[in-house]
Amino acid sequence: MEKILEIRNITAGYDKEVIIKDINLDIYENDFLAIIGPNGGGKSTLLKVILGLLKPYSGEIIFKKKINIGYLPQLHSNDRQFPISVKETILSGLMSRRKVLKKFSREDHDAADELIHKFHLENYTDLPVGDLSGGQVQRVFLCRAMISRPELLILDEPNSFVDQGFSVDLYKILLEMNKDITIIMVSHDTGVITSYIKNIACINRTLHYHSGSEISEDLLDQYQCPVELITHGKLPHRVLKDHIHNGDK
Amino acid sequence: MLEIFTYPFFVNAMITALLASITCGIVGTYIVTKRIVFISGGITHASFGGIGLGYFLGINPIITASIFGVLSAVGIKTVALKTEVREDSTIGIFWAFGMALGIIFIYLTPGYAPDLMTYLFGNILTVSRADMIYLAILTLIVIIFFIMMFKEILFIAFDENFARTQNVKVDLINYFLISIVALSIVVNIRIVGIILVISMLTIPQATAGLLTNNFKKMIYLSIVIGFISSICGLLISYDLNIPSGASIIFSSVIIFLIVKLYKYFEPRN
Repeated sequence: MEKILEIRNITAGYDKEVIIKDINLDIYENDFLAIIGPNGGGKSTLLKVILGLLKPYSGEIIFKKKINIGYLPQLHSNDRQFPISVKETILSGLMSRRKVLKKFSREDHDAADELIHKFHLENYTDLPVGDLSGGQVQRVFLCRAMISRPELLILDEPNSFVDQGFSVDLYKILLEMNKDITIIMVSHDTGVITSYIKNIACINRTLHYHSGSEISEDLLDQYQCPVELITHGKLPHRVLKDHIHNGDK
Repeated sequence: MLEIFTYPFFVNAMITALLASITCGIVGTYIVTKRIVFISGGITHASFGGIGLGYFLGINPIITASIFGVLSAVGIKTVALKTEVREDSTIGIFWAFGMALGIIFIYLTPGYAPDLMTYLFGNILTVSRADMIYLAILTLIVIIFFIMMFKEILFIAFDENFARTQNVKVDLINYFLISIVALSIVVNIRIVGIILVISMLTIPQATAGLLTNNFKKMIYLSIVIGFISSICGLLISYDLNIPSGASIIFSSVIIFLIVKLYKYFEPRN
């Protein structure tokens, strides 16, 4: 598998307060990486650094080639009253390709319609985003993240508002997409840690990367990762083999 | 009263009102939906420093106010982007500093500042030819820019961070937009005055916002509502011999209330 992204010694935070420290992580093609950890542990901070939205205090993000990124932000970060329709919002995912003054093409509209259908949003196409429920807005934003057929999909808490009924569909769609693309997903939803996640990174100021899908309870405890994910439910039980601690050389 | 429509000064005032309504309709919709009313207030007051400087140097205060307006707009944005000073504190500082400079310059200028009241309260009936040409050029720039970059402007205003991940030149477009906001504010100072200029850019838009949830329609409606407010205000101003700024804003608030009442009593289905 080809490496698409290297995270090297990243230290970052806000207002001079360090939130994540010395993070190292490689991301490979077709990975399905779940980033888990306690609230305030730095999950979203790391995503922002990868996306170039936050300049790290030190370290660097190295993209191995030019790639298109699809991003699903956490829901609260936008203005719900803004006068923009569902369709327009989804099409805005194609901005990186758009030429100035060019209208969206027939293909662009078809791609949007296909996603609208896939995410059961047919009845809302022309409504302003502000009229939708949290779960619906999140689906609209998922469409926006996916419409450009990105090589890398970065999802910040994709399941926080989506209703239970749709969440199964969502993971089916992600699994399908994962055949061709890389997915990084931040989640504290224990339900998502199922067999199709290929690797797990636990982040709480520093990062522990678990190659493969085996984790020990000890380590999760130490990192305050949601322990239920291996002790409850019908999810596969995972045992940690060797893992690389950050800073261990 | 109808004969006034034949007076050249009145025709000039109507043309000015139309141009101002177009500029304010477009730029104001951006200000309201992007929620940058407070920044716009800061720019308005900071540009008073430019008006003072214009008096001091003996040149058209609108020119120096434009320079002050754009510099403070870019200044506020840059401080917010590059330093960790809170944006609203930065706005407060620029706001007060501009006003202070304006007052200092005016007191340093020998003699009496003849039409200072015009800049505080505005007077659409005494707008000069130079001001009209300046407004016409700005209106043209605003129209062209918004037609060319409409989607970028809409998407950045909606979700700036997402736009950044799509490699859109967010900072560049934002700097340009905030400069256009500053210029629109300054030109309209001549018409409604510093104290009221922000309302030209927010009240018609608020009214339009009651009627539509579509960015483009909000622009068109704001232009129409702004123009009606201006004409009503203009007639009241002429009739009662009061500053046009006050009567225009008065009209626009009345229109807002009428629409609000209509929406309130409108039968729901």
